Amino acid sequence: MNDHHAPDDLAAQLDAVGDALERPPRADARVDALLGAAPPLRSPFAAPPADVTPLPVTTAAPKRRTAWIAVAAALTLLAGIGAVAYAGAGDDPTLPVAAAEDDAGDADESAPDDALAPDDAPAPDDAPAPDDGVGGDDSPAESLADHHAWLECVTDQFRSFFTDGFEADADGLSPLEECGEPPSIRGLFADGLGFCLAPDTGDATGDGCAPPDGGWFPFGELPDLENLADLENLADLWPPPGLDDWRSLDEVCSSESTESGVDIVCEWPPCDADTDCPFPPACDEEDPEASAPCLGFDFGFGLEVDPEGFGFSVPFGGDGHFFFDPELLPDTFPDLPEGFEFPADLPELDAWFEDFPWTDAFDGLFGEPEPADA
Amino acid sequence: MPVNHSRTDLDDAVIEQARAGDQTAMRQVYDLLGPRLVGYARGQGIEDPDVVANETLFRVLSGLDRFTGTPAALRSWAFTIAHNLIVDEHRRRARRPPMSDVEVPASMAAPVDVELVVSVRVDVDRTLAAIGELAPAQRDVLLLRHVADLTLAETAEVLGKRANAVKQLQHRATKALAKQLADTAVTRNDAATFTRVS
Repeated sequence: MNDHHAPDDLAAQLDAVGDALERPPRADARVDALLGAAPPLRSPFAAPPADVTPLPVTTAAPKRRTAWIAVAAALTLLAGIGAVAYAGAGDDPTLPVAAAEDDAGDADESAPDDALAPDDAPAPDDAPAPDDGVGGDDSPAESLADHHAWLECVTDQFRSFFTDGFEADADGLSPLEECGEPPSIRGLFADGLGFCLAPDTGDATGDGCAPPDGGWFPFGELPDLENLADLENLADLWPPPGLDDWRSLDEVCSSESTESGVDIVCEWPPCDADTDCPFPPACDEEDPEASAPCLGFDFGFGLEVDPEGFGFSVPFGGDGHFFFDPELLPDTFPDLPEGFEFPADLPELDAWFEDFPWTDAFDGLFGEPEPADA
Repeated sequence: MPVNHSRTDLDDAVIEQARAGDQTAMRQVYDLLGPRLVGYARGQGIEDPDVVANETLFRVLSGLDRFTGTPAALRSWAFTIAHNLIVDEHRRRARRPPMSDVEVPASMAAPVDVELVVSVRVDVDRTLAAIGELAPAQRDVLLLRHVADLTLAETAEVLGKRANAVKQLQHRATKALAKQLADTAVTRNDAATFTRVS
């Protein structure tokens, strides 16, 4: 049985679907010609192929395909990552070069008629890795430089945003507008305790900031990411030692709404009833191997930005964000704790934020708040 | 009982012979890739999956002399072509196609146990319908992994994503699929109860 990372019964069901769908293609003159004088692919007396089984396939464009960009500021309570300790876990992220040039995944862009032009024969295995498709043809250095500048700008915006509160944005302007479009959607950040870097998952969910897609870099400041190896090593950060297989943090953490806010409980291997630790133990950044298993656990809040405005998100559990925008919610996080209610509008949201015990969590996240001007 | 998909289908020798124009080897490539290509296209709801499969096979077979790589690379190449053709097809298609039944293969239709056949058929139909309701990226991953039987790395290459992103998508797809199937089961049970009561 192939390891498809699905429960056994479901995997079996999926394999049965595969078996049910497979059948030889009907004869084709061009293919037959290539195969020479080989016998016909089907007996002329055999029944013609059954009709297709079209599914109710939605078109390639997600509902909010280009609608918004996720930007999250987050606090890494325990930001140890232990890249060295985890290196080598998981699948080899080095993939062979893509054979096709056309960007088959982009909505609103007609694919060339030739899905694979004659010159696009697969490259040798040692060919350089393909462009990740994010941010056009910019070089990694340029991309990171742009990214860095954008992060600095956004950090400043967030700092003033949370210092001055919502009133500063009563005119409806996004606090991020001044920073312009981010160079890519894959960078999420926290200044102070960690830096989240998430590869573009291409599904525009914006929730790739946490493992297994992304990862938190325990940098005290905005990092100097000249070494792209850090990016490449992200894929090796998960799973951490001690977990049998890869799991998302939302599988080991749960949250529930309480009168005081939200309680988050993570059932992490080293955390049991005796140790009473709500979060995994901090990694010793100097010696991550010795302190393993440990993992940075991000907990914070974010700001979802789209051309029409913004909404707030709060990531509980570390594997992305629970969106306050009710329209985003069902699509993005079907696993929202039952009974969890979201503030419906900004004033209510504001009050909710005020009631939420953020203070400790945000302490130091953005450094010392600057005094309000007036 | 699910059939164990095996990836020990193509080997370097066959590919090398096919590259050299050996038509027996080329037919092996055809025979091994063809059914899966049809299955993938059918799972994607393509109205004429044979067109996709044959177009893919034609491009693969006619380009084999320029191919260098492993069997895994060949699979990735073939399914990249197929996937791109399918994306093109989806873009051309302006409306949702109607649902129709899944053809149960002979190997599954053969058992004497009619109840089992019906049960399997229903499960396949339900699962396939549920897959069709998944987000496109999730559906792509599930079909490539379970129908095309590609590895994680091969799937990632076809979709132009990182392996971990594929993991994530597959994880979410599996959860979403399980939920949909559970919901469907509940609905069906409710309907049955209602029928009995009324």
